[in-house]
Amino acid sequence: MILSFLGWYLLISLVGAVALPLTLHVFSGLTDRGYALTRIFGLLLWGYVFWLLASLRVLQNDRGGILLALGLIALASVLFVRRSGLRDILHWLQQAKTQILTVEILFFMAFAGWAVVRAADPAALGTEKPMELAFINAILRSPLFPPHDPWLSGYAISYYYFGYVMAAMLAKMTAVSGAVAFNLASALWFALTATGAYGILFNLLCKIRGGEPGGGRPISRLAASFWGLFAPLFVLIVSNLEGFLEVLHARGFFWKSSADGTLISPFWQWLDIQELVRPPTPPFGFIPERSSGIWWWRASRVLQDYDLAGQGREIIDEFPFFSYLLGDLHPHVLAMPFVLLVIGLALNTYLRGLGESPIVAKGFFHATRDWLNGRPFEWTAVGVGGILRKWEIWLTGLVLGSLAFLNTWDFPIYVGLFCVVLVFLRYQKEGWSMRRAGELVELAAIFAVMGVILYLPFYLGFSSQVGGVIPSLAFFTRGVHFWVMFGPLLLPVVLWLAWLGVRHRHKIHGRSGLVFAAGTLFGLWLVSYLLGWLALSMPVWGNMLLMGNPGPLLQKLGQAMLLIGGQFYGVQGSADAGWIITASLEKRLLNSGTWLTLLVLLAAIWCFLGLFRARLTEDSVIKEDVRSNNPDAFVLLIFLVGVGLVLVPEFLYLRDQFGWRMNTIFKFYFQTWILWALVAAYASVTLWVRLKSFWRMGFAVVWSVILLAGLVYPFFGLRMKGMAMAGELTLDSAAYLERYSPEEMEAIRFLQGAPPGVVVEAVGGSYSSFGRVSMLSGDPAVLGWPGHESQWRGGAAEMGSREEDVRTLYRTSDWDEAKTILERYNIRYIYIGSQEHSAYRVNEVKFVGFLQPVFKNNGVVIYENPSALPLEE
Amino acid sequence: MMKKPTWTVECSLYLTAFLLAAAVRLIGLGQETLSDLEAGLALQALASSRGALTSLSPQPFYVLWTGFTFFLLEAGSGLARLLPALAGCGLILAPYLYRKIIGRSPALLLAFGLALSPVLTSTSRQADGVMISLSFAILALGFLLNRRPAFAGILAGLALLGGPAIWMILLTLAFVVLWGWTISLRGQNRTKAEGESTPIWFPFLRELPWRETVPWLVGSALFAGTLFFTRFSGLSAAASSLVAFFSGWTSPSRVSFAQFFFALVTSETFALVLGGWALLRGWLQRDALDMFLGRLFVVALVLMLIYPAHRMTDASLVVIPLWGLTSRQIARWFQNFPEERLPSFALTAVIFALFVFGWMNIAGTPTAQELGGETQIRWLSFAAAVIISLLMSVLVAWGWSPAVGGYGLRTAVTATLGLFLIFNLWSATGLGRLPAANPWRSAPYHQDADLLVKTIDQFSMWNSKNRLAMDVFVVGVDSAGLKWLLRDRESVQYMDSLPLEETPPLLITPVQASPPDSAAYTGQDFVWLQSPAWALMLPLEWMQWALYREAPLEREAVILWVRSDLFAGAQAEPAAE
Repeated sequence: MILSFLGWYLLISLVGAVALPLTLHVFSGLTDRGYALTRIFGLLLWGYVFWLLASLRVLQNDRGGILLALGLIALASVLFVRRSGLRDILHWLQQAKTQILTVEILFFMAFAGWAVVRAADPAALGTEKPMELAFINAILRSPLFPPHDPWLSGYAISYYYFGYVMAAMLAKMTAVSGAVAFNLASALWFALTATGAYGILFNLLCKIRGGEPGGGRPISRLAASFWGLFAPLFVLIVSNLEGFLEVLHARGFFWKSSADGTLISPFWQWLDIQELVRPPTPPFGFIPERSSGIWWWRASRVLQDYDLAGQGREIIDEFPFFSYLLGDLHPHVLAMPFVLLVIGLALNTYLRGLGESPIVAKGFFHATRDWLNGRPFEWTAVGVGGILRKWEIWLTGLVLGSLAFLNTWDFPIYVGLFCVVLVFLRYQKEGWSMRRAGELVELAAIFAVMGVILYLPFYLGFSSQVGGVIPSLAFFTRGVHFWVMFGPLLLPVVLWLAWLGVRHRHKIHGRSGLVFAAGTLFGLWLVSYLLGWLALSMPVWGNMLLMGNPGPLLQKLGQAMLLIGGQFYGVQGSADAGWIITASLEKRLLNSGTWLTLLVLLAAIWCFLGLFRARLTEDSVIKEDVRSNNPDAFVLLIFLVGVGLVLVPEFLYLRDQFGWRMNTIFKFYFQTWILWALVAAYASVTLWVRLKSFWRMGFAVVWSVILLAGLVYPFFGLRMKGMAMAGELTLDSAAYLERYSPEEMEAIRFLQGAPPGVVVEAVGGSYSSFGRVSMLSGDPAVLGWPGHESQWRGGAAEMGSREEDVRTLYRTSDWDEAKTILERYNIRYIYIGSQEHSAYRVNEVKFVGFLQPVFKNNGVVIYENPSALPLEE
Repeated sequence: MMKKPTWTVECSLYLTAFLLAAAVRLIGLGQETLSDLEAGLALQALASSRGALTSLSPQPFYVLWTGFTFFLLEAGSGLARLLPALAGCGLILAPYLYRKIIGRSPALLLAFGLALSPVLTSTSRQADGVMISLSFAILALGFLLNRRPAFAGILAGLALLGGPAIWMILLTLAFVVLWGWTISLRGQNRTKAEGESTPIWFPFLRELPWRETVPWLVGSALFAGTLFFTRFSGLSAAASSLVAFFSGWTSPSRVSFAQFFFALVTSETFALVLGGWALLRGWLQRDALDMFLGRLFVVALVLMLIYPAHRMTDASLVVIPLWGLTSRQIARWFQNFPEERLPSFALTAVIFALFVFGWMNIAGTPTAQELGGETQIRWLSFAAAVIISLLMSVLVAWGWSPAVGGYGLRTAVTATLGLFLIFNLWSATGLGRLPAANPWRSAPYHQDADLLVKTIDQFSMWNSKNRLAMDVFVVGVDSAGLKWLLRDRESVQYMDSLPLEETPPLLITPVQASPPDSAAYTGQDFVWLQSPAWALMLPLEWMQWALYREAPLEREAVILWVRSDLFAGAQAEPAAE
């Protein structure tokens, strides 16, 4: 275990060192020149080069290919060393010793610390862990790229699997099994996120200047090195207030006995968090417990949606600590360090300023307008032309584009953030006009196209489950849930905004902020109702189209409209369009907590952003702020994007297989957490440093209380992990199988050593132990979790009759029938273990008669079909 | 004005050495069936020539370019070994590039030495990337020293594609340079203290045209490593060689120290004796070049021995500096002929005859186990022959002329060792009586391979009028050599177990297995793998091996099962069990 850990530590450090010259050049706008991000940047470049070249069949999926990819990064770095000069780099390293040391200590502690946490509960069991481990093993086992789908033989993975490629690369290079890599990756990503968050805050803090009205002093680099640790604390450790509520609940607070002796609580009923509405089990204590179920799971389900009929819908509201505690290696976790890399890149761009950047150029829309007015089209003056000539922009496209491959939902979010920062720089320089909106669209389009081009092989094999945008009429977040979710982050931010307001009270234009906020919010509201009205009237239009004798196209369209409209009504919980609209309006108005909070926050952000525009005022201090690219403005921008992310799902959400906001909230709130945690960390440090005497003491009390409330969940969560530890510490996520079913593990080990081939095993539901053989061996199964396959591929067409065929293969007594199925799916290994026996009434006689077992022990028999073709063909 | 190239005697002699090397490397190249190790690579080359998508092993130059030759010509064992053999021939020309450093005569002698070295010959005759890496690396270094960056770069690029051996070569060179550097630093400090300046040879390295070489290197690796941009995975495979090299530090070797030691002592006696003498002399006289070659020899030897995954072919790097030392020693010995030629030749002839007499006595020792009276007499005779030879030389030197005495002894020793070298060379080619007993083979020898294939062909021919048409099932035999032998057959299936409903006409199994319906088959066993038990051999058995190439052999057999109805007349009268 220690050797595997050290192997990963050394390798990722080597990757960081190899990419360092490139990082120092690209992130030259940052005080630490991106040192804290170099491991993330290096891993991304390495993964990209390997994946791309392997997908183009230039590199092999073996250690040589992975090493060559690293060699290419090293070569690029050497060129940058030559460009900037080795002496310059050595000089910088000499100067930045403290920062380097802090980053290195933080990285090692976070990596080692979380590896120990994972080692206490390493099993890849339950939730989607089996799926994630299956991806890693499939990538390790695939002879060629794109890697095969472990749960649908004959197909490549149709998922955003870049993170798993990186984990598999590290595993292959260090000769670590996929099962161990699963937990090491979790720990590594935790550490990368910690250093990434630290780096961003450190660089922001280094830009805080002194001598401003209201007191305060500049923060030294040494102090910034310490204060920077607030960022990993807020991003990774601080949690929502559900843990705190669990303690109150477990202690019996706000519960009182009724006349019949049952416990009642209007508070908990009002709070309406599942399970907490039920009375606690005496004797009461401070330790959260749940007699049936897992108490810590509830923190990821604070929000509760109801349709208009009062039917509850499950909503996921994970935050980083929960995800890491759970131990899932899901794409949203795997994307975290790279999201921070993008934020770091945006900060770097912001601090460098526009300068002579091509983004200052005229812009495509403007040039087109000129052309339409009879003037020649000036390609060189057009932003697009200038942008495409800059390699830095392509690199930005590469980093942004990686998010789609890591966690597709993040791609538009962070393209948006990056473009907002760029447009804000233009706004600072030239003020607001509609041209800014055009630039925003233009830049977003450029980066979106770039991202797609650079990751084209991924898109060619990917089918998204997202099927459009749906207006959210019945679903929205209650104010109390919103504050329970984001309270520990919002409170320092609100205090900071208040402080900013007091500081700049004479310069802010409150009305413009309020107008903007109200316009945005009610605009979204209007759009939502307009779309809602369209969706509700779809059945009417569909019926109109189907009346008479329409052509096939109109018939198809009419049926589709009927279907979509019907589904929409179904999700709202009513069939009465008028009532849906009025009931929705009534519910929203009666539960105004979230949107009112967002209205105030949005107004405040807009007001303060206006401060950083040069032409707004003659005040010399403000001008200074503009010249020095004040970090406050950048922090406000990322806060703004976070507000946008929680605001949009109040009115619109993305349509997927579930039909309600579950995934939209999950993905958007998770990103909001990252953004707001950075803002909260920055706000906390700023207030700690700048407030004086009484105000500082007051802030310290409030801040400490809220922070402690936010740390209750991690405390009890980690305690629970320690108590749940079974046996010795190990990073092997398959050790549970060795312990509880050694026969199965022995059989799987046999398959791991045997030539790759399609394996058939019992098919069953998601989140279960079905698909275990393919998950651990990396061999593709005929079918694994049908539900998930359906999600990944947006339907069941590819699966066809596989589930039934597998059942038939195990149960039939007819060899010819079995043989046909074996040939149809090119099945090489027929696995018969306990799961198969319990899922089917296995008729083994036909296999015994015509095939020979290649493996047999007390619990498992594996037959080999000798006529199956090798996997790579 | 350009100097017109002229054909000199020296050129002719190099050509002779090259032809000699080509002869011992190319004659009967395809006679032996490919070993499993060789066949694994050759099968990849074959797949590559057929355009099949396969993962390349970390020897891309061999696989891709042998595949290309397969594409142009018909795949065969000889062709599979052609590229390493040609690379081995090319190595003979390397001394020409180093003649300014080691001297013209030693360089020429070195060319002959390399041509006749049993280790290098055996390595060249194996389908493997070791000789490719070694030969191209040494040639590249030679061109670099002669400031020919284009050739140096191209050859270095090819060497990089040769496989894991290149990393051992580079590591060896790095250690030697490091060793030399520390010595020169020490010398520099000493002379600084004495107020003198010492010429050190490291600035010389800095003056070499590295920068001009690199583009050629990259270009050649790119072109050759992708077979002109048709197989990009070759680059990946080249990088895999580094991984394979590092993996070798954690994987055990099948080569015992005893096997390596005895094989080297008996095969390269000539170079060990004369090279060892040169090294001793060079060390005592502080000869810089001899000491450099000595360091190279020591470092290569130590690294090879401590590298856990070392193979016998890795000894090629060890023998090259040894032959360098040997050639310098021979050149020194025979720089001047003594004036009294007749007495010198006479003394040489007598001593040579005595050595041969002694040799015959040793060779006549019955067996290693029988150490009876006769054996003792033979050993005494051998000892007497050596002592008399030495005495004669001393007496001639004392009574007649030291030059004549020394010359006679030196010439006789060289001739005797030369004779032994030729004997070892013949054995190393694998063309001798017992090819399995060649210790420089990387994998065991397939004894009855031809017989097995011939039998299959005959059955196929009798029953289907086509020697390749009949189905063959190979069950439980995981041998690349067998796959290579059966590569042209239309229907061959490899499996771990035979499906019960299958009754193939021809079936190959290990000896311990049999077909499910064994009554329906008739089987014949064939010795498939045969190799001496090197690790278990005693010193006397090694001596016997050195004399007769006889060694206790380990064998592994396979059984060819033929369905009984395929025998002539079987349809009329079922074969009896």
